[in-house]
Amino acid sequence: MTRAWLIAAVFFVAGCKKPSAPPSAPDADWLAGRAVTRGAPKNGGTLTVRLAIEPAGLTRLHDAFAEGTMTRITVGPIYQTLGGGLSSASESSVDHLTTRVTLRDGVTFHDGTPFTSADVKATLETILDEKNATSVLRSSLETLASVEAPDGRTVVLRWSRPYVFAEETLLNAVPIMPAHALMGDWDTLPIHRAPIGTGPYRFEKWEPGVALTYVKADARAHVQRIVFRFVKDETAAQTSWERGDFDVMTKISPAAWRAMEKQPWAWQQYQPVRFAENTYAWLGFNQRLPMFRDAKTRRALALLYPAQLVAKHVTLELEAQTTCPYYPPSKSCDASVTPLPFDPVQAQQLLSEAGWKRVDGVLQREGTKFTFAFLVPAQSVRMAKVLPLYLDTLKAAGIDARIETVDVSAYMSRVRPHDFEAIALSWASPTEQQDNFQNFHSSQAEVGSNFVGYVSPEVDALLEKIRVTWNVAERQALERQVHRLVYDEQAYLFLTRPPTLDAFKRGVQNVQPSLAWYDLASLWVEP
Amino acid sequence: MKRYLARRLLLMMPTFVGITLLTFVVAQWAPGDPFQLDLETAGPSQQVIDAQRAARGLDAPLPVQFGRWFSRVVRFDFGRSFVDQREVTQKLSEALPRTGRIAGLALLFGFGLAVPLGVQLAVHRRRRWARWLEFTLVAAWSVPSFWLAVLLLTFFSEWFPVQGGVVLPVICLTWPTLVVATRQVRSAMTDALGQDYVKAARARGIPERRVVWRHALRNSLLPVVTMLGLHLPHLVGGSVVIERIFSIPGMGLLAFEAIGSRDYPTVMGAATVMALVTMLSMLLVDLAYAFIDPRIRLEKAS
Amino acid sequence: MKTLDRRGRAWLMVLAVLVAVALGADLLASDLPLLARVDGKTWVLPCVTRPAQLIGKTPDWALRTPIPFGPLQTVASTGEVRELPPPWAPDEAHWLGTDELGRDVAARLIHGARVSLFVAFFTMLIALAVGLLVGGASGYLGGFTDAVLSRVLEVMQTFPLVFFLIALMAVLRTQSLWPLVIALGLTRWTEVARLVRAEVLSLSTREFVLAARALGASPARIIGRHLLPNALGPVLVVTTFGVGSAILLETALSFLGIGVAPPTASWGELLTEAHRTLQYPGAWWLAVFPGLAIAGTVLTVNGLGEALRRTLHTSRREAANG
Repeated sequence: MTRAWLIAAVFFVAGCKKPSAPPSAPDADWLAGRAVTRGAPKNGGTLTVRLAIEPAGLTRLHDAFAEGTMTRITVGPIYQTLGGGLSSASESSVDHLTTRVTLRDGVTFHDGTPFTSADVKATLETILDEKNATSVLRSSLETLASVEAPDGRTVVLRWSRPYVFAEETLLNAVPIMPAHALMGDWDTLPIHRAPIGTGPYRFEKWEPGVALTYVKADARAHVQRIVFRFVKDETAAQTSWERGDFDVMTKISPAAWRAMEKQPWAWQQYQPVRFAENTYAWLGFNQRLPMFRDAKTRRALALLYPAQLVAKHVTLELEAQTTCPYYPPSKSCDASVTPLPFDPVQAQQLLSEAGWKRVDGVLQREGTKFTFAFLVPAQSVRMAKVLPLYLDTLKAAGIDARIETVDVSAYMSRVRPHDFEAIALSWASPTEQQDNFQNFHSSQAEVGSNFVGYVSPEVDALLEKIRVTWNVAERQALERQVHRLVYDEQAYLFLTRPPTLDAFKRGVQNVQPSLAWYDLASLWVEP
Repeated sequence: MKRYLARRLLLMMPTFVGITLLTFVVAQWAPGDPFQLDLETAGPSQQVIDAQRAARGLDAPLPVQFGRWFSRVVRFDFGRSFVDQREVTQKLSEALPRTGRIAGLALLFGFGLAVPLGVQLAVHRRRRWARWLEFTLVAAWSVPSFWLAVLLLTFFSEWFPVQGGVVLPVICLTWPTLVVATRQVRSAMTDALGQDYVKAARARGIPERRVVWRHALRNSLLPVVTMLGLHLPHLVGGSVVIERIFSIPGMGLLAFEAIGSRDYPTVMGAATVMALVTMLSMLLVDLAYAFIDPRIRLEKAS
Repeated sequence: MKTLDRRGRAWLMVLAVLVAVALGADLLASDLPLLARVDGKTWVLPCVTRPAQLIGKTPDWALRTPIPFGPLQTVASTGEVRELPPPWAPDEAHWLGTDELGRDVAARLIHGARVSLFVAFFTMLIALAVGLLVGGASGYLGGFTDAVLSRVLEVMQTFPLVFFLIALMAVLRTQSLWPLVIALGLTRWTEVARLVRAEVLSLSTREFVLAARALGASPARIIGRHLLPNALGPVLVVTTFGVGSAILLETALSFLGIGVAPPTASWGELLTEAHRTLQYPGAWWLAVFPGLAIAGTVLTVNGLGEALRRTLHTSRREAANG
């Protein structure tokens, strides 16, 4: 009798779990991660977005808040930039030393104050103020000498010297905030916690550690409410996602992405979206050390990198290999540069040309053994999987490499003073344009982001020229040369372009990926 | 009693200073700087970082920094977080109730169930089922708590909300408390049941039920109460893993993340509050002791 | 003192086997053979000595370890290719399956035993040493020393353990296991110290100690000959249980990303990796085997502790009655 009950119970539970709609196989668009839009825009509804980290603040000017993609995602719907809807025209003088921006009429901030040139002036002066922790944006605007507001609709900017990317930063990277909200001690301004902008969404509430809510500001937006839920743990996020708690699941791991293809709940309830932002991952060898100073050794290290195995086992064929420090689909990359293959024999040859000899199975040069450690932040799941594969191929070649994991703060405090042998990092840019001056110019080896200490007079000259070349085709030609040189000399061991892997609940329409994630205002939700 | 209480409170002072000092030293030790920024960006110059440090008084010698900090702590002012510039007191007041809720419930259920269970195990200790139950309890305690949490999350998340729910995290926290407390009650009861006064009570013809639940239990509660006090810091601190898995932004997670970003004001605020809570609970335990066992009161007062 | 009962001896046997596996990890699972002949030269136990000369050489003949994989060997060095990428389920080649890089779970588990048991044992050894010293001094010397040490003890007890560990690990973390051992040890000694202090206090008033003191024995002799041996029983019980919780604590630290640094295989690290790969539906072997190893070991240690407690209890009762 008991057994009969038990069997009945099992069937009951199984029956409950059975999905209502019959399972259908995912189609080609689904598998490729291309979102398909159906129907006409509808207003209303709520969009719940999972975020893996919580932004520290919502102004995007503040250094401590410059958390890359995550802050961009969260403040995206709140603010507008001059180039993104706040200006009607902008013109530069022939000598590129003056820019005149004409502002749009009839724009108001979420708190009702009208938008004028005083707000632009206040925002820029806040960034330029040495006292404020806004040095990240300030460094891109270091050529900005003065900001003038001759009338309410016009802003005149004077530059100390021509710099082609300054205008780009000014127009597309500076979120404009109301002047009255920027008065007082920068660190403790209320606007960090309750942003005021001119974007399609306005701030509603922020429950620290739990969620951040925005509400539709005007007709530019369709969805009534956007809720960002902070779920840090992967398992918890995965479980909530399977329960259908999120409309947008972000930061899906390659493994989970592949698993989705086999799970009916996923293809019935969700539409995966996969696209490549302007980002690439790289391994860097500290070229201040004699071990890594010659390009031959670095080329050999690249020839020993098992890209195929990593693609098969870690990134699960979801990431494209890259060789370029610029946005690969653009003309800034030289299409004729091909990635070095995995070739231990050729690597061995290059290593002996570079003076390395195998003594008792281990490579040595001038009496020192070829041994080093990869410095890795403890939270890097990807590197914890990639590096064991690489260590194996290095070991077979007679190179004794180790992994050294440290926590994130300690990691940064070691990378900046160049206290490392090899590191793993990735660069990302929200736009197609990219100034690689900070990354590869020799002047940046001490204080800038040229952590690996790459020095090449040729590349230096090109990078300097790029900064003052306004003609796009000419600039791209120079950038292609940088690409080739940097790859030939293996300034970095370029790895892959990690894709953005997200999933939208079916019913969320008009999903359009861009380099700055998605435009949340253009989405609508089918009931 | 009053004098005893006063003496206890006086003794808490050096402990409190010791804890704040320990936190301060540990926090200062850790390599890394709160003003080292995201490497994705170009980053500020050294002068800017130095100015930031000076503005927050981080350039002063360590003893001076500690002195300043301590004088503010006494006024319950922990300053502002280096990360998001919010008042640390505010952050703590959000996190503490969340941890308090799950830890309190875990303590309640853990000890609430442990007493009857432990007594039964002691009374029936020679029975086979009691032995098996005990073995099961020990076996269950041997499972890592995060593993239990992940299993619960994977198999029972359909019935309980993952975010904001208390059922699953409370089960995870209750579990080890229950096992440890049950064994404590069991062994104390076993001892008590063999004592002369229990035998005497039985000999006087007092019903067995009354002997067990009144005479024996009252005396075996003492070590259990001690354990309760010592267990609290484990619950508060040990909840980091549970809070992480169930996305509860409580004290454990707050402190953990603050250490990760070298957010010293938050780190030290969290540690101080946790220490205070623990010290208060130890004091309560001592008072409960005195309440349960009048002998101690006399002994200590003299 | 009475010897262990039958159940206690059984647990001790199981623990001895575990320790033997941990110590002999290199003989049980290694990428190098037990005995090999390479280029006309015979190598004895290269799996233990790990000569660099053998890298990339194919031996003429070799006697392999029972599990012919090292704990860190990925597909990049085993060269295994199958139709589907790993994780591979248990089969004849990999008895307990592999993880997603093709690393053999059995090999990692065996080498992980060495790491986890090393950490647990040495943690408690440090805790024991510090605890005996502080507790003994506090209990025996009394007065001002006791007052100060008691405060220190209270500070350590009140301070949230995990919190202290996190900070300490951030400071000390290297590839070596010692920082972890020291950090864990420094958080676990308070229990021992408390117990030793209480034992010493109660023993100090017993006749045989008073007699020794009256006979003019030196404090060192009284502590060494009379107090410590008598206090050792309960301390041993607590320490044994401590080994179990140290193993569990190690897993929690690994989960938080501050334990043994990867790629070193500890049990906690294995379980954490399994947790990260939960997205591979059906790869149960990644989670089940490390979980069983941890639970089994902690259970064994606790069983032993329980048996020690029983033994102690009986011998004390006998002493009291006799």
